[in-house]
Amino acid sequence: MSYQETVLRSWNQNVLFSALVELTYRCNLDCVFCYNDLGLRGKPMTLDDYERFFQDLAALSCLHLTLSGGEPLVHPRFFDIAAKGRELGFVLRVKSNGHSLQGRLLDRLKNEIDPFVVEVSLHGASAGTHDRQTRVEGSFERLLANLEEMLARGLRFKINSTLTRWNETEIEGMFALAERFGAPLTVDPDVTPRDDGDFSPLELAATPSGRKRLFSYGRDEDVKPHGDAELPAVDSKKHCGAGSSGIAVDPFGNVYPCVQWRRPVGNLHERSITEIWAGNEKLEEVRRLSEDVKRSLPRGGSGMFCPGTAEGLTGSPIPSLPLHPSSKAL
Amino acid sequence: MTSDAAVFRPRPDVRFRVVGDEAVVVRQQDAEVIALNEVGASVLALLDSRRSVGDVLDALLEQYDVDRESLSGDVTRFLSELRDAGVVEEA
Repeated sequence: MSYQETVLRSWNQNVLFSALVELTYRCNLDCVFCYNDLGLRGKPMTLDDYERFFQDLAALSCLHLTLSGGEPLVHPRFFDIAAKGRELGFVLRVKSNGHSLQGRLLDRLKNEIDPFVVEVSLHGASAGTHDRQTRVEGSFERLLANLEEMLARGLRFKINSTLTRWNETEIEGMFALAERFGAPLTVDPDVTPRDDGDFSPLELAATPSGRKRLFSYGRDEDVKPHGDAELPAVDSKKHCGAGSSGIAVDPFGNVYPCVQWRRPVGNLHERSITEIWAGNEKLEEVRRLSEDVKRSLPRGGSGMFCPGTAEGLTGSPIPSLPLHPSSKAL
Repeated sequence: MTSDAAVFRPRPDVRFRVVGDEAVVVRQQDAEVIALNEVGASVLALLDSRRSVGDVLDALLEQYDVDRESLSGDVTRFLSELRDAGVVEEA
């Protein structure tokens, strides 16, 4: 059986295979279009909570674990939490803005955690644009220096970016920068609303010509839909693996089908992930909706459509015509 | 030739999970994914730096209705393949 067949089975048979965990919403940058709901309150997950959660995930056959944020590295117990993930045999990804990835912290990350990959964020091909978006002066130069250091120490990394109207004219330069580091660059073509429903980040959304520029320059694999599509695309009756093979968890234990589909399906302080995953009407509805989305899209097309983003924008995860801007059809 | 006393373990960059009746193996160093069938998954799950090849054979004989001699040949070949593929190493 191939890996693709395994992933297909995880979608069709609801095998939890991939989890994204937002450890904190604190961050050492202040990105203009950040989607995190900074006003969200709740009981934070403790190290013991994470340990139980990770054990349950491993028992459910979950292989991929992504630690995200905010900036996950500013969580005071990041290394303890990540070490639990390593100990339990997950393929670990760390999504970081890259600002603190230097010196001793980088050594610890390499030696104690050994992530499969660190995903860092690039906001432009120039200091003017990058720093304007992060609202931290010097963050661009610091990121480049940190990437050099990561390269020298043999830490695997990839670069993520979101296309905005501020950086859309620098797309070629951003790909050139990625090439300089020998790292893949994945560009998300869409700015999304904040998770609290605030649409103000959309003011920074790329223009139609900027999107066209990206799609004509990047290869298909360089441009990705929203969410955390770590798994290969498979031909399933479902549109995506949200809530079928993957979940996202916020710093307060709320469980969502996907990082982009912020429809709570349970809370880890109340029920274990095993219980949430096994019997849950909300999750079942998400799984049904994923099939509805698949049926409503043109056959073989619109893989870029994101039901989570659509629900955030329109209140419905089902595409309506004309297709949501996440569609690659321009 | 692998002796029954030899002990194998997954290489440090290897992560794997048994999913249903198969194993998904990720070799982080080369970003390579390998899928193993049910028997392969059983063998890999038993390689824990403590069990010898003989112990692995004993454990498999409790799961599968097969004679020890042919199982030993199959497991030896499989371990050799896993070693060549960079999935396991001798402890």
